[in-house]
Amino acid sequence: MGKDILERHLIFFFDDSGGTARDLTDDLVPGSITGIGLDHPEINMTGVGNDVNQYLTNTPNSEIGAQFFMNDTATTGAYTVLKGQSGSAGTLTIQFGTGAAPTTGDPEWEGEYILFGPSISVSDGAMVMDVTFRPQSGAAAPDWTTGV
Amino acid sequence: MAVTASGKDKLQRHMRLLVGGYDLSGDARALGSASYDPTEVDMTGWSNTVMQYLTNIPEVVLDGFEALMNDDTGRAYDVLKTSGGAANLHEVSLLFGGGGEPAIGDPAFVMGAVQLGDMVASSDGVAVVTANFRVDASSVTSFAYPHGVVLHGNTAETATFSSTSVDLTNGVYSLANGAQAIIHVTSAESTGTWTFTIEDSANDSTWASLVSFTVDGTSITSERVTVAGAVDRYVRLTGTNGTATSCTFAVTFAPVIP
Repeated sequence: MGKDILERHLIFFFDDSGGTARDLTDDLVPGSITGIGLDHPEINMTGVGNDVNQYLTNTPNSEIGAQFFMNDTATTGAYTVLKGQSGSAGTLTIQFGTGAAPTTGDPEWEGEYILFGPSISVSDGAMVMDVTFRPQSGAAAPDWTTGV
Repeated sequence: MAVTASGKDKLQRHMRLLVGGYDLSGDARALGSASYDPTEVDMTGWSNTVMQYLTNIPEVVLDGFEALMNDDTGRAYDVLKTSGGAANLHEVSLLFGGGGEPAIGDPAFVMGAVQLGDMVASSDGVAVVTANFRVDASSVTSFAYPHGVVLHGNTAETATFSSTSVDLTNGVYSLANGAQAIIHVTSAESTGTWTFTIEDSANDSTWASLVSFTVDGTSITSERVTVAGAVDRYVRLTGTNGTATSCTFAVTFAPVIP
């Protein structure tokens, strides 16, 4: 617990087309994951007579971006899992280990997301896939919880 | 027995782009992206606690292909120039070699495409031609899902053959919604003709014809064919020849998965 949460202890799950959660962490490109949590757009409420700019928040978004190596290993490779889920919804779970692999009580972000992509491109000579996950309409809002 | 996927070993230097029967990889310099994007529709209502989405009509894109302006016959400029203002219609296959030249079972991006422009620019002192591709509305009416597999690498065959099979389900997919396939003949047969057929099988041992190409290997060309309905778990390519001696070709196959 505490100030010891590193990227190397993060675990990234997304459902395959059969609804089985797949651990894609081994194919996740370091530093590529963005947007975990809620991003609250600002609404500027500053009136002419106010002494300082002041704000409220609009409906938050939770758009998660990530990049994966193009691993076509049967069943578990990121390419295998993600190309079968393009445009489909599944449970996305990101667990944050505190000083080690995630255990019970560690922070976890989870929700039902639709997968947009993959978009294949080149990064430092390797083939990678850019994907974006957006919350699924009609599902419960994604939220912080504790795992595992 | 079906080929085994090679895993996390896909590099740019093992990628090959075939356009209309021509391998442009020797001139290729860059690729922007090759994508299948369902595109989002914002479904957020006033009372929702977080923005939420559904999917719209998907977009298949191959963008930012950049190649040296090689004007030899069958090279990048020769193939991609859009003379007379006509938009070029192509069968396009992008093959992702796993640790080497693309081979059976490796991933492929399969597209009946219209080329948008042939912009030429200077890059690091050399002239390059850039091309972007979208789905060709004049020929592609369905089965346009692009993420597929290589059924035959761009290599020569000299006798009747049945290729190693590919397990399309990869352990997770269902295959009820059709497929598309493209053949690129990159070096033509000189003496006879070939018949190329894709077969499928539920058990990897009993095979049935799924779809055949009209292309017979006698000229450098390409062809896209489609299959409606279910595809069995395993597929392979067969080629039969009579008096033919040698033909070099590649075949890509993409079942509709999502």
